[in-house]
Amino acid sequence: MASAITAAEGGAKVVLLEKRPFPGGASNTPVGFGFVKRDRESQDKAFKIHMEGTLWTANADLVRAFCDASGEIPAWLTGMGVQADIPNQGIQPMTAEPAPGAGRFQAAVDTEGYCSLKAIGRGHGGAQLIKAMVARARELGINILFSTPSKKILRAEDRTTGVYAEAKNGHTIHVDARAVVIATAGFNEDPEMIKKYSGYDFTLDWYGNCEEGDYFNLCPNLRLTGDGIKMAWEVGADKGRIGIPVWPHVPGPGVIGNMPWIMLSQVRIIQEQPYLWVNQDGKRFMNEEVIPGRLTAGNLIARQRGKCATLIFDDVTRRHMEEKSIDKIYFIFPAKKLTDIEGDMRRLIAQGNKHVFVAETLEELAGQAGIDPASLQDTIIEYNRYCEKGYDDQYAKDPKYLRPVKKPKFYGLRVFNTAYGTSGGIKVNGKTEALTEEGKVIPGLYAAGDIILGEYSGDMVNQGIQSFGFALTTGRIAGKSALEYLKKP
Amino acid sequence: MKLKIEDFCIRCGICITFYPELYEMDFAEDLVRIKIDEIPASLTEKAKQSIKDCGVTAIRIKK
Repeated sequence: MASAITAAEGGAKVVLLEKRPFPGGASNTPVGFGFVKRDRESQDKAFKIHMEGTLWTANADLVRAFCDASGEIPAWLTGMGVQADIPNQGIQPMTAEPAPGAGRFQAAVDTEGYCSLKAIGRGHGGAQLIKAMVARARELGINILFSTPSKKILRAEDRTTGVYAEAKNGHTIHVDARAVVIATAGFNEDPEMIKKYSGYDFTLDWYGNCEEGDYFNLCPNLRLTGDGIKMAWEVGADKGRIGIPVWPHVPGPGVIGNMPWIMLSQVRIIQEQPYLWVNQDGKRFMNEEVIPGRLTAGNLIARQRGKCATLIFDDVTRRHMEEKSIDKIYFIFPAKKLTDIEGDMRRLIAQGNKHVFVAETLEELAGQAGIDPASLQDTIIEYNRYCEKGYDDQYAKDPKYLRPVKKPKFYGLRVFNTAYGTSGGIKVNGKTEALTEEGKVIPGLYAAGDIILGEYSGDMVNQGIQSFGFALTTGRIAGKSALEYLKKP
Repeated sequence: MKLKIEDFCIRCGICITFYPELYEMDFAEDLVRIKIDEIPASLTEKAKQSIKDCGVTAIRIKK
């Protein structure tokens, strides 16, 4: 959409092919996006820190292009009627996520701004943004064809010549185009690609049948099957870097609604707390302070046996969350105190949720969660010792988060990795032109958004954050690059 | 009172999650369906609230 509007604003005749019967896809879900401030000092600093944070494995030309161009996005959007709140500088604390290899977020406080999008009803701001963008697209005369998936990119004599798409009635549509921008998002619902590029076994059944080693799909109806990536590969585009921007969640019924921002239980808030987390072997594996840094926690969970982890707390900590406060807040789910945690968890268990546990003893809890009881017992004895002396010998967790696990009842939440989408798939240069394995530009073919996010993130498996700001910015870059190309004879 | 859903509905499921008596997802057809043609008085308030809750104002009263 960002590419289409940019190209149309520059005078190009644009056709937008949308697979779904509605616009925006996963872009309807964000609450806001980050951008680099529009001054040379901030742009230089953000670029350097990002590249150092990825050990210079990210695509430097693309990162530079993002740092230079993202600052114009807020004004561009508000100019078309998007309702947003844009602080002059500074980023919301919860987006300053200390993810490994993402040093950029340490610098973000100084260099980035955050554009918070106003929501309608119970929706997210992204939906309001897409609605305004569609209005702008129609004003510019962009022909939007819904329920019309692209099927094949057409090439002739080293030039891009158009696209085959499938119309609602099943007929093939031939769109003549000298430039094609692919902005089809990822492959979240292609089990084979998930297995190949992330090592997870995929389950679409996020309502509770998640087993050890599974990855469950956070947005099960986005229909992200990697179509654009596969079409680009067919015409010789290189794969580039591919990863999964994970987001740990408790699966099963009753926790979240059809979309992940619809919180149905306090469990969604409890899972962000930095208390005792153990793996399936009953061992601690992280300084739990990293919670709710979702990429960091996700990276750690991905490396545990069974690719899952369990948060454990006792009755004293339950009362602490109900009577005093919770300790960590993920900005999408703000809260101060919780109420009737046990009742809430028992309601989920009654609904058949297999990842929520309440037990009278630790042995019973271990049995419910499939954790070795003896090992868990040893871990808790050791952990309680750290709590007693106020110092975490193992991982140096801040003493204020050291809460012992002693008094029944005991509570547990099993967390798995999930994702909104995937990251990367098509290799591009700084102008978002698709590249072959030999590094040659494929003339007239561009890619934007999640399908090139892997280039921005560098060599991380669980990579990709700030994807919405990146999608808007690279969409605009792709639109401008295509315009430049179209001006050539 | 009758409800309709505009074609720019984004299938996010807010209405289905909070008002399952009124809405259901048709995955095969890729759309949200209104389960009741004529909304009974007992569900009128919920129907009105669902209109307010929609993230893209796609739920309307059919005139």
